[in-house]
Amino acid sequence: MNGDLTSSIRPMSRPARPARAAGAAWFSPTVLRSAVALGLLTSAAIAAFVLVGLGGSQYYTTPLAVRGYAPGHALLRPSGPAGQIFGIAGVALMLVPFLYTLRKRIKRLRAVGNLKTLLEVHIFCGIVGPVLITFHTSFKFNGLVSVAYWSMAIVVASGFIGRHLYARIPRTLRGTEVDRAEMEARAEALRGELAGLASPALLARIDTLEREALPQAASDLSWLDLALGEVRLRRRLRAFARACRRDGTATGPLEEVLGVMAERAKLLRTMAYLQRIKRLFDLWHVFHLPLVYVMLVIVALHVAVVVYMGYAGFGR
Amino acid sequence: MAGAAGRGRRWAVLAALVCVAGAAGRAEAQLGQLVSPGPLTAPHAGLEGLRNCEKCHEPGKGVTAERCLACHKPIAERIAARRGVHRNVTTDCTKCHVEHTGRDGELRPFDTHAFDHARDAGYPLDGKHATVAANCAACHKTRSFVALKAACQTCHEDVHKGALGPACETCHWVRAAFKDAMTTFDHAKAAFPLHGAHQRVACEKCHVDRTTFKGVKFASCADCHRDPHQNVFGGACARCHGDDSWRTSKVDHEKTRFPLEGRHAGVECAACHKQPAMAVKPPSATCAACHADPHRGTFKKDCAACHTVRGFKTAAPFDHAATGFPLVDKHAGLACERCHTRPARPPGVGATAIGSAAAAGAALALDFKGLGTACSSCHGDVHHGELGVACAMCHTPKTFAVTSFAHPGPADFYGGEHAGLACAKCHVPAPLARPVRTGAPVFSVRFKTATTACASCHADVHLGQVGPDCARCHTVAAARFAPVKFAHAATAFTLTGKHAALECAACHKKETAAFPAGRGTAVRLAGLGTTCVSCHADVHRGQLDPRCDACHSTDTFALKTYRHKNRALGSFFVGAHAAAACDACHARTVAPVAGGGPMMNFHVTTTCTSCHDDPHHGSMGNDCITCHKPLAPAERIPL
Repeated sequence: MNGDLTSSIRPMSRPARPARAAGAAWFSPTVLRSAVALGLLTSAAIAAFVLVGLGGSQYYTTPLAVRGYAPGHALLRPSGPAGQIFGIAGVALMLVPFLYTLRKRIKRLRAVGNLKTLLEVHIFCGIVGPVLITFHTSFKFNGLVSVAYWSMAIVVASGFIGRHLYARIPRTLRGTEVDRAEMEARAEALRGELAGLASPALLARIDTLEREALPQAASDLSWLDLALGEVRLRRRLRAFARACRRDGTATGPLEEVLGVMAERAKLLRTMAYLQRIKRLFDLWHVFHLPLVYVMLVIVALHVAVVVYMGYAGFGR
Repeated sequence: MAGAAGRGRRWAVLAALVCVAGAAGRAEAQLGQLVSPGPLTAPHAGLEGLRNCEKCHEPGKGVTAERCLACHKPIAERIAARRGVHRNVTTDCTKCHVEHTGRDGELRPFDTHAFDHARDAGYPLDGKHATVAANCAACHKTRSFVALKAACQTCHEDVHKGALGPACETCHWVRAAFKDAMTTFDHAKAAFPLHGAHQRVACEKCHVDRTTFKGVKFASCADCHRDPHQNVFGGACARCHGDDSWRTSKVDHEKTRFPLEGRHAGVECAACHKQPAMAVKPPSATCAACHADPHRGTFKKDCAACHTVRGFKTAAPFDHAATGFPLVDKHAGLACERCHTRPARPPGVGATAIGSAAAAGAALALDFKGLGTACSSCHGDVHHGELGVACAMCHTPKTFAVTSFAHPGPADFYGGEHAGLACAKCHVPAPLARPVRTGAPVFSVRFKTATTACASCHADVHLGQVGPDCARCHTVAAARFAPVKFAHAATAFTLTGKHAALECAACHKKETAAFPAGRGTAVRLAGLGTTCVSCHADVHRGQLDPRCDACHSTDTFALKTYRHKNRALGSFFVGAHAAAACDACHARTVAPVAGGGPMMNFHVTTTCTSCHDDPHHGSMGNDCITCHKPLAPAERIPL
């Protein structure tokens, strides 16, 4: 599945920078972003199929009072053939992410699978499953089971936040965290590359930029900068690149210098905030996890009532 | 880090427990709502709650027809009997009736316009019922459709209070209006068959309370009808009235004391026999019983002297001569109303001649008496009283225009040139601001104030040069007022010689200048002067005495003889000089004044060179007399 995923994803993602240094691949978040993209794309396809192919756009917009007599009711109502398939498939997909949790929690499973791949599957299912469940509800949110639905919605939303935090903690290709010494070594190596490529004048300008744009001491760190600084840094780097290209003072391989410089700047920023991000990521689990259990309990109850009352037969 | 993760896990478990406990707490109260897929519709609202789920849902089977019909027994009966809307139902109820769709959810969706009431409900809605077919609630007042019976009383109130029994269809029919019971009921079979206008009377006019239909009295008209004649004619209504109409066409007016003739024949009965009192007998047979008197009593009661029944306006011939004012000439052909006009109606006097409003508008309230015979009774005085009331002095009934009038004043003034003048030449008309009576253009003419002074009519063409006494020169008798009394000798300049025969205009020129009466154009009469230069031009250009009579006379302008008056020249005018023509010496020359022109030169001296050329070119000096004498040419000294 990993092979399938990556081969189908890569053309959609931002073109990877030409391989510059063999050891730099584990800094690229391309693969993770692609799991999100594939999930959203699949969701869009499902939505298009339901709304257009199955006449959902008409059915779901019919007022509740008379929806029971709309043409799509037999098929799309929660207990109808399509509606029930949405529900069962959605719940099934929502169970898949637990594989990632189990793999992380149970020591005996350490040898099974690749943690990074499991996370991709976790994200993909966590996006597509809720979409299917949304269609299962037929946009009616009533009773206890709606609590499960909104719990799921919160979990999914927090999942996006978590993915963002996760991406900012450098990891190896296998998904294990890179330790600080390695990062510092990498930063030094990039510095050495810059010294070899850039003229002394350009190097001085780069140093000035790093001083101004990056937090230099613990007192420079702030939560606001943690949230927005990444965007600011990228904008600054782009402006610097434009300025360099325009004045033409730089000699030698300018583009390569700019690439190396950007990578180093981002790495330095990540290192500066690594401690805070890791703390945030630990806290994040508190949001992401407990509602999952609420959801599981209620869904179990929901399924029990449905089966007991005799509605588990795909609308027979 | 492991510590943080462990804390996170503990928090997670705790939060999950709180949520589930909270949900369970809610479940205590409204567990049914928590597992319900949505609120029930309004009719089933009483079935909310966990304990009621299985009243409809059968575990493992969903909603079964048995559970529905356990409550909906009338429907169950109909399904069993295979009639009504559900007569062919075999499937589950939920195929057609969807629940948990909210309080306003629809349980019985069907198109009221497409519903076949005859087939599906067993009761056709036709005739007047068809108009309410789409409005179910008009009959189905409750939610249940099956509660109604197919009897009229189910929907309609029995206004007859049971007096006519339950068989409404004896009189009423769905295809006719409910009130229109007569379409079905045949009144001819009743004791009182309806004829004529009685057939159009609404039932309740006689059957007043709509419950009493039998035993209504009808022997006498008065059983139903009121007698508007207050029993004047007794009960014999049929003598005048019939079944077809209330109009009393049967009355033969000939047999009354007032046969209807002429225009009376076409008058509506009610015009004289007025409603509503139905005072059928007018008080008397006189005209005044019906007609108002537009003449307000001036003619007593003798209407027939002028009017006939053939028409109010076609009056009988009236001898106006009997009135003391015979109508002759132009007065003869006039319409009465030209003189006998309609006066303003005093308030309170009715305008009505005959009852109808149209007649009232056309009626003329004319005053015939009290109109004077004086012209001014009818004619306006165009002279505004200036000439008094003796109109006949100038006007006659033949024509208003004045054909003859002799001025009583001085005969000589009204003779001569004045004799043939039109009146208006002196009595100048001026337009009036407001035309009187006839509206024709009438003029205000001044007669009395006109005087015989010339200036009252004539303008002074001399512009004040000769004073106001025209008669000094002019007479009325002379043609065109020629100034025959004028003699030039009376002026300071008697006309003699050639002057006597001149046209006046030769000297008295017409000019435009300032005159005593103001600036204007007139013939110059006064101030012309008596000197010659007043009229004649000075051909000598001032060289000579302005008293021309030294040389010229009025007999002829030409100079006959002249003797040089200077005695000292006696020796000069001798010999050839004495016989010389004047212009031999006084040669014509060009006047040394502005404009020039020829003139005789009188500025000559007695020196020889003044006239003669010097053939010696001065070589002999200028004392010609030494050798030459002004003698005859033969006596000249040869050269």
